[in-house]
Amino acid sequence: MKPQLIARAAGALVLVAATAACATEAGHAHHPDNVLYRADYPSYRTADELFERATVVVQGRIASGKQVIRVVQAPPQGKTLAAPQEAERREGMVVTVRTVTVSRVFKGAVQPGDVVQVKQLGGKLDGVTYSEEHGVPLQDNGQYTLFLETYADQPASLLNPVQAQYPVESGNALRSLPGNEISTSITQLAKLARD
Amino acid sequence: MPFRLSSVRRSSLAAAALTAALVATQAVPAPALAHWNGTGQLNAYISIYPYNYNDTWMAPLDRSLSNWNATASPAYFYKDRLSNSTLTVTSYSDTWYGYYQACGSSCMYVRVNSRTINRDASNWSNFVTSVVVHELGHGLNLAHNDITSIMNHGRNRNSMTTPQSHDVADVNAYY
Repeated sequence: MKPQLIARAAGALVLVAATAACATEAGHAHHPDNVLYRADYPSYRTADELFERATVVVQGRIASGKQVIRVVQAPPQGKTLAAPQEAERREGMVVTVRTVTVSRVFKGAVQPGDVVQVKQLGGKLDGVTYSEEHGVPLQDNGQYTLFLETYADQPASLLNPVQAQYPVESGNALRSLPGNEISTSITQLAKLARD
Repeated sequence: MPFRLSSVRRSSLAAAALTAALVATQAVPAPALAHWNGTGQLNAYISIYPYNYNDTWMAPLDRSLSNWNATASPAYFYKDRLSNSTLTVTSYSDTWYGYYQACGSSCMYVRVNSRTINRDASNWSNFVTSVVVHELGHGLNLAHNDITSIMNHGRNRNSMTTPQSHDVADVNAYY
């Protein structure tokens, strides 16, 4: 299960990167310098809710380096999309993929030492800066506790761009990002993992 | 010269009228807690390329457009085969319910994540409508907020399906 998760994510990256190349070649009529993504996420009230929803809850360190790719949905089989719909499909969504080396697992089919890929909306690609409203990019070499949802075909996603990432501070304290009223701790997560 | 005098008067009158109109426009007070994002559409009369899903999906999707069109505001969404704007429903491998992206001043992409909605909705039709009305709100330049609003992330999507009074006021103030 664990190796499969990682291998599938890696395979998916190749797939979307290749698709991204096609999308870039196709070009788009609209060429802004900046594109803002606005997404409507579930809002969580407690760490318990986050824990319950997540498929993987881990603590780990973000590797330096990242990949920015365009995620494009596969075209529907046996159906030709109208031009505006095809343009939308090819536009896809630009995401930044970072790698987390897991040091502690609270939930999910991963082990310490595993590598998990996490995607976030936005990134700079082909001279265009894509950003997500309220998005807070994970920092290179940062240590975090993350609440993730995993997928067979793509890297994992944070449950919520603000509520699902907690930088680990000295003394192993978990810091809530500005705008996140949920507070949690290693002790609480360990207890949730046991229950 | 009568003609010139008349023209001057007409020009003066026109300029005065324009000035008055501008003053009147500028005098419209913004809501006390206006939440605009500035990445919406240039006009509130917004076309969308016709979408086609099964009847179960079409009902709440169409209701989303109607719910904005029923407000006392300039907001009006309609389907037009000449439009470059799209509304797409599919199963995205991501955690959001809905998504908005401007593809121009008169072009937008609204995406609806059937995977998360099907998983989380208790009143499915209302939930879909709430998500789409929210995304269309972005098209009208509305930003997220934390008050009683369709733009609030924390709203109850199973019950809030229409733009709220604050949302309508924001649209009226913006356009």
